[in-house]
Amino acid sequence: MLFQSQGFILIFLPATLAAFYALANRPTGREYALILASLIFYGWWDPRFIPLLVGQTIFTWMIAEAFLRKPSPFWIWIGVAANLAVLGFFKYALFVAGAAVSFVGLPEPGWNIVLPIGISFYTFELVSYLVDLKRGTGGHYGLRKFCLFIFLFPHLIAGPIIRHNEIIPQFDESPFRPGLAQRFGWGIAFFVVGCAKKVLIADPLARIIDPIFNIHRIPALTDAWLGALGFTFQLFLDFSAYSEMAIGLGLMLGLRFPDNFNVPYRATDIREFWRRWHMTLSRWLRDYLYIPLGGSRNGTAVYIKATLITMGLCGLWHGAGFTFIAWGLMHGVALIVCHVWQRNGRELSAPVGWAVTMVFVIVGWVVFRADDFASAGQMLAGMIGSGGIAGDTRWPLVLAAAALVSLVGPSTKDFVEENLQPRPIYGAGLAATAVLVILLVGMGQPQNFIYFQF
Amino acid sequence: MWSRFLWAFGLTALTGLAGCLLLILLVDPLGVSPIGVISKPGYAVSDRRFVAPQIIASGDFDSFLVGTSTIHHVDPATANSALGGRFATVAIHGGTPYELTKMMQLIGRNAPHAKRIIIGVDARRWCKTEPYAQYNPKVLFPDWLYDESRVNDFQGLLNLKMVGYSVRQFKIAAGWRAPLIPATGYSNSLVDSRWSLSTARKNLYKKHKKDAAAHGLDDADEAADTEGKHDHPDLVSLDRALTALPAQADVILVVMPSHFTALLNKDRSDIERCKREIAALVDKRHGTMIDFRIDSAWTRNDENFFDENHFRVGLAEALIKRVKQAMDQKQDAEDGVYRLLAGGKSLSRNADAGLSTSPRR
Repeated sequence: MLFQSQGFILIFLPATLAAFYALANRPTGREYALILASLIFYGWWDPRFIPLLVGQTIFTWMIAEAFLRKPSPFWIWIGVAANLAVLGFFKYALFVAGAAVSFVGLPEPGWNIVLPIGISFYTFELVSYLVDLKRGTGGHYGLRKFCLFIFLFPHLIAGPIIRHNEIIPQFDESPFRPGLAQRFGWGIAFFVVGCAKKVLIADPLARIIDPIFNIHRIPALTDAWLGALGFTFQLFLDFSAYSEMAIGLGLMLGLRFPDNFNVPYRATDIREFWRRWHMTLSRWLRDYLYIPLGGSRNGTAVYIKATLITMGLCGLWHGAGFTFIAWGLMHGVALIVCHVWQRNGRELSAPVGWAVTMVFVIVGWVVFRADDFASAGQMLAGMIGSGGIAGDTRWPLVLAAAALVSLVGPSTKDFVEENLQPRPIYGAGLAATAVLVILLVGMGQPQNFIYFQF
Repeated sequence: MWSRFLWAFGLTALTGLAGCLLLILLVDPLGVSPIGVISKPGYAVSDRRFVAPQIIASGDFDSFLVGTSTIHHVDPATANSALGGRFATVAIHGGTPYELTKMMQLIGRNAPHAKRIIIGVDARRWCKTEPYAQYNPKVLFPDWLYDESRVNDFQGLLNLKMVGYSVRQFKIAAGWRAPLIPATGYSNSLVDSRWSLSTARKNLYKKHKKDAAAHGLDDADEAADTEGKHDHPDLVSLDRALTALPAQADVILVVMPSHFTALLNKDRSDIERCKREIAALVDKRHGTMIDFRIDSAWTRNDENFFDENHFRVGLAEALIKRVKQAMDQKQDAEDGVYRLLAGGKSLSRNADAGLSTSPRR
């Protein structure tokens, strides 16, 4: 069930909110209501994976209990290894097997493994909790609250990647505490803006650029740039829209999720880009991978190693494919170059820095989006004019809208929390947008979010 | 302040959605609502796949023209005067065997008292040796309007397109605009005023040059055709569809005329085999089968066609008269324009009369 589907907006969400607020004065009841709603939400995609989600969560909680009774790192290693093994099996087994057999010259294995939706996200949340326990910053939670932390439907499928200590304490706060109307209003605004970004801009863009990435020859310059720019904006609008809808849903339930995007395409260097893009993943990688690997304070060699490993794994997290690893390593190298450049006191003017960063990011997204290196090479060749200049596809108006929202407009957070006035006319305007979105998504199958595949 | 914001949001959203839903249900452009109040002198939806179920269920017609774009140029009014009855056309452009089967099953369920059903057989679709694609990839086929459940008719009703259709349907009912599809389902998309012999010939002689075509078959093509598979898996669906049609209805299958260049294609003898298989199904159903897809003065005349498979309106009118003639005389046409493959005596029923090796005069 997608957030922007009619089933979710008109049936699931009102029913869940009704049940939640009916039980709002009973902490246990409202938590059970959310757990049940979350399992229905998850099972809507594929009920076969509910046992895996529940099993992985309960297993991790039991490991935590064992550790808290007898604090031995053994439990943590077992818990982390088991979680990563599950993720590895579902996400990477085919990739590794395929790479291995192709290395020794055998045919591709004919079997298939269906990736449980959201596994990359919730596994990282489980792992971070276990590591925090070992560090002494993990709390002791009851099973119900721990399950709710993982299952909570707004962030279950594609984040934001939330930490236990920033969400579980919020479960005890009464949803009726002061500020309810403002929280709910903000929640609606986040959700509607996210829906509009997805349905009005990102999805129409996808319909234009997907054929360009699928032509399997060098596209003309204008087509190649339309494809590359289109995907650059689509990815941001699609994923940030999901995050904003999740944040909005959280607010409707009285919960505050961390921000995930902060106008990343305005970054003037690549380090700033990663501080603004998929922020909850970036901080997870920083705290649980990059710093444990040595970070930037243990000499240049350690810094380079830590950056490349972190970014290579960041690429691999996005997908089991060599193009993803290459994309991650590209960014790793760029982060190192940027770090060295800035350490030496060199400065680029903001417009030049922005242009260099954007060109690099766009080239990176081409590698990220392409099915394989050959396709990526064709797109990049097209972008330098190897396929001729004038293409077949007209540049659509929606690209301008996408550029405007991505580059010029305020972030959704700023729009909601600073620009949005609590006046009826704003409420009516948001409602009109919501009605338009609901009527539009009713016209066909709602489009999946790009990050669901990760 | 924020509570006023929330009230404004809630009331506007509720009013907007309820208003749209009410408009759609009252105007009912798809004919599924139990509270539809608007009469329909014609339809606001241009997609025939969405209109056909309404035509069938309207109760205004007792006879139907079924098939693809090849039969769509037959005006129901011509069929009325030639054959009697109240005809409507439920032909769908690019209809696949699956979609046409669904259409015939729907007629069986929703027009149980139908008197006469003329099915235009597009041999390119029914006679493939591999199963034809279930759906036409260019257009959505609304399965939910063709099944037995009424509950799922309401799925996907609340959307912007339906709001647009409802407004248009309302205007049609008020007489403010013409329908996109008239009540009989007939509207001619290949307007005769746009026809020219030079354009037609360009379309007709793309694959086979005029001179070569005029001389008929060559041996190499004949040899190529005898190889390969000769199963016609979609005929299983056709059999099912024929069985589903109302038992008392006259069922007339018409193999639609194609320009004779289409008969030169390598699949020609396989299509002849397929026609005989269809004839056996029609015999079982006690129906009639008339084959116009043969080498004849009609199919040799470039002036009768837009392209290989689409004939002009003038020929459509003549075709219906010939259908009447075939049903009355129960034998092949004396001038060789059609063969009767089922429902009467055929002089050439077992012969491969698809194409002679020399042009007919």
